[in-house]
Amino acid sequence: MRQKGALYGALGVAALLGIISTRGTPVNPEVRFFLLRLLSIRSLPDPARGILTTYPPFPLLLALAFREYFPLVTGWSTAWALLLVGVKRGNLHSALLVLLSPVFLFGTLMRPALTLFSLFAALGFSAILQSVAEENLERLLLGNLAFGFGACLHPLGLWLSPVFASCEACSLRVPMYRRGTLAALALFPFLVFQSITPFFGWVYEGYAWISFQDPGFSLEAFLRGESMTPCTGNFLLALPFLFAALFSGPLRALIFWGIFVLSLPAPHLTVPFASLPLAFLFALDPEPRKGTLFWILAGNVLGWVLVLFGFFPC
Amino acid sequence: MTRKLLGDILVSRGYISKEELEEALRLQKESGRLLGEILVSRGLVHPVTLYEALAEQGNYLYAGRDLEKLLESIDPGLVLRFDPQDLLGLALFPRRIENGVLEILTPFPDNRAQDIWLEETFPQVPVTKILITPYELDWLLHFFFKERFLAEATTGLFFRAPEESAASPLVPWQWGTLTAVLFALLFGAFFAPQATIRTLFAVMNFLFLSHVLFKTIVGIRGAGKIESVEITGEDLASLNPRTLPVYTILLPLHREPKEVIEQLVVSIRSLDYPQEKLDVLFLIEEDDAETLQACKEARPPYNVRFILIPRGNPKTKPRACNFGLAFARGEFLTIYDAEDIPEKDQLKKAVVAFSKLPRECICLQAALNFYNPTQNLLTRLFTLEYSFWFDYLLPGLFHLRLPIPLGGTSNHFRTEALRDLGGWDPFNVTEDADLGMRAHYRGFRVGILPSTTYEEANSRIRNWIRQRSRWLKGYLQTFLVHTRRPLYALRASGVRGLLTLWLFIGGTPLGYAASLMLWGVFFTWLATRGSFLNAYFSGALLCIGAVNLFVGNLLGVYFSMFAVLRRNLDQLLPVALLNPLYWMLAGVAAWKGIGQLFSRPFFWEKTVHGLHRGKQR
Repeated sequence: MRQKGALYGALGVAALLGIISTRGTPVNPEVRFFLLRLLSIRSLPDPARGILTTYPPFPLLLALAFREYFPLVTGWSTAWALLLVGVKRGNLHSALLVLLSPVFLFGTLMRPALTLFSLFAALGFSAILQSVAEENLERLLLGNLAFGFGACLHPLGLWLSPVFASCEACSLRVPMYRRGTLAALALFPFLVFQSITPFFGWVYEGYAWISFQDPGFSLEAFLRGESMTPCTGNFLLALPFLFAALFSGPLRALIFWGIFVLSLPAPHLTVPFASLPLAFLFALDPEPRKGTLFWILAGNVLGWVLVLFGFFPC
Repeated sequence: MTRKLLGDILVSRGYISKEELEEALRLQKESGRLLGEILVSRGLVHPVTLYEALAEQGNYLYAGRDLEKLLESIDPGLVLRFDPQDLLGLALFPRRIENGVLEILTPFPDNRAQDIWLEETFPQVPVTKILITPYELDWLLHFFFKERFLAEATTGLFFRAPEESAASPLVPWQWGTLTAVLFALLFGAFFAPQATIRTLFAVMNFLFLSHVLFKTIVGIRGAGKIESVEITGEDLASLNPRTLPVYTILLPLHREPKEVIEQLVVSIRSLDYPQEKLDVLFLIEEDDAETLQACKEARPPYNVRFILIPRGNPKTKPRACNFGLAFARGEFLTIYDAEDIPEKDQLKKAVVAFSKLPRECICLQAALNFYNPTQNLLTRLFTLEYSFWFDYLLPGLFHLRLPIPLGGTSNHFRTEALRDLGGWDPFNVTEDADLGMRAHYRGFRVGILPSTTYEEANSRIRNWIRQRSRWLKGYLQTFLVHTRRPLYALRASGVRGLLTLWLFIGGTPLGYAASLMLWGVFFTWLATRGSFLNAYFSGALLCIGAVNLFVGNLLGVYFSMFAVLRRNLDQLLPVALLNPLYWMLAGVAAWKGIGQLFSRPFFWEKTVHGLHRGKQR
């Protein structure tokens, strides 16, 4: 029954995404980056090389496969994965609420790579929380691999990885030497995935950081679009996760909406849609509280009212 | 007339003192063991002396002590009319028929099952029972039936189920397929070399990726929970020594150093299991005089029996185990290697687990790990590999209800089920893995026992390659045997079982062999920066190759890193980064194993034990 619900939920989200995308949302920096990079890659004799030497490689692969529909495909995949996890953890209603929020819908259309990354980052952080509760290595293993895979999806992981490793090392009640082991285990997949692009840049072009050098479609441009150029404000990216770890219930919901609202007028303080990982954390929570659900629902209603009145978050 | 007490007889004959008798009686009261067993196990009475006293007590004759004389009195014609398995099971031996009376030799005359069987088999024939010791019974059985036992041990499975035996490495259709593939490759290499090499790389990469993904899924599942059944301290404490079943331990020994045998004897004595309920069989090759001498000098406990394995081919461990199985008396049975140190309560845990698990679970695999993990780099890497294999992969296979290839030693069986399965395949050099698969196909299950046996990690590269090439050759034998009947395999184990056979059993040796080639290609590519390999590695194949390179190695290394958590071996964490070198070594062993599969398929490359002790000295 729940699987059926998940299926209908995913179809509903896909339909909604389709309707909104056909209305012609403005082309944003992230989608533009991938589509333009795609043009240059397609002109190469071996496009596979272009993918391997461009960061982040996975969304680019999706863009190559689905072209301008890749935000839709990415969003649909994210929704599907979230619903599956929601069903498995008995938290389908939270997953559906998050998927029907404007944060997710606009996030997936305008920042598809960030949205997908947010899900994997949330899986990583949620695994730590669950591992603490259940003393289950499987969760930790999956969480580390999920967060590690995030390295192929979005540069935001660079800022989050120290936070992730620290959380993992400090959350579990273990001896000091074991904390070092856990930090190493948390970082290892991320570092390996992160090294794919520099490695192939070095092999094919003789320079590991080649993806930074292409003026038109450089990673730097991509980072600028995401407010990722180095500044102290970027450290705020870690805050949603710390808050999520420290608080629960309605307070967590309040933080979630607070970050979302803050990210729209003040993108220099935090990445637009930085609240996405937090939203996914709600959906991954195995024991949602009724109060939390109410606040998310209230936020959703408010968000959609704002959308209807023309306050597009772009 | 009141029957004399055994203790009084022994005291009156001056074999033991009154104090020693009182102490033995106290132990008897505590453990429920037989008085004679306690006296023999404490070295106070020789078994022959005990049986002489028992003969006096029960008014029997004792026929032992002088084996030559005993042998002369036996009628071989009568003996050969009996099935040795009946004689073993009922612990009796026919001597002769004299004046119309059948004389039976037995160490256990008050055995009701024996009487029923004799009445049914020899109706109207009067029977006389004469005592011999259990050792003399074994000796007689070995003397008269060793050829029959040997034939059963060597060719039993082959004649009963030739399709399950590795006696022929490949059956005709497999030879045909292999030849066709090789010809196609040669043809392709001649007429379309680029397309052929590209296809070959594509197939290799695809299979390698599938193998990696399969192991990932199984490993992740195994990270959740290890044991098949929960065994608490209360479970163990509640076991009644009086009701514990007899447990057979098979110990195949071949060219073992004296120190290893001494350590083995200490391990047996240390087991937390009533010694009189242990039935320990030292399986020694007939031509291995040094090991036999070392075993005698080690003065093993009285419950150890030496079973000499007659000369013959293939000279493999499973052949010795099959021979030993014929002599096993236990309800349960396990195998250890000479250098093994099992956790003391392992047998008790197995008894509890068997009692909790359904009857379809006929075998339990305990974890293996090493007592010399930090001896050198090789032992460190080996420890990481074993920790992942036994603590993650095998539990993962169990929880996913997939076939489990048994690993080396510490497999605990329900003895009757093992006999029904036909024992081990003596032609397969990883007979344990093959047995695990065979059990699965017959609808049985293999569980995971939450207990560890510590072994010696191979510390020398050549010795390691010898051992590993045997393992990988054996996996290939197992793969080839069980792919002979694809439809049967599919029906018996389903798609998932078939995937396990292909991706895990076949995929392990072939994956190592392929990885060595892929590493070669990779280093060539690095050196040339891809100039001449562009034609072969581009497009989708380049992406899959990159995934294999990064994701495949990441997962392999990462699982090794993770393995340290359960064993508290955090100091080995950095060593996991060197795993690719270890896999290259395994690749060398895989190619050696593949070569041997065609040149010497049944050759058992002996692993030298005791190197750890040499280092210590």
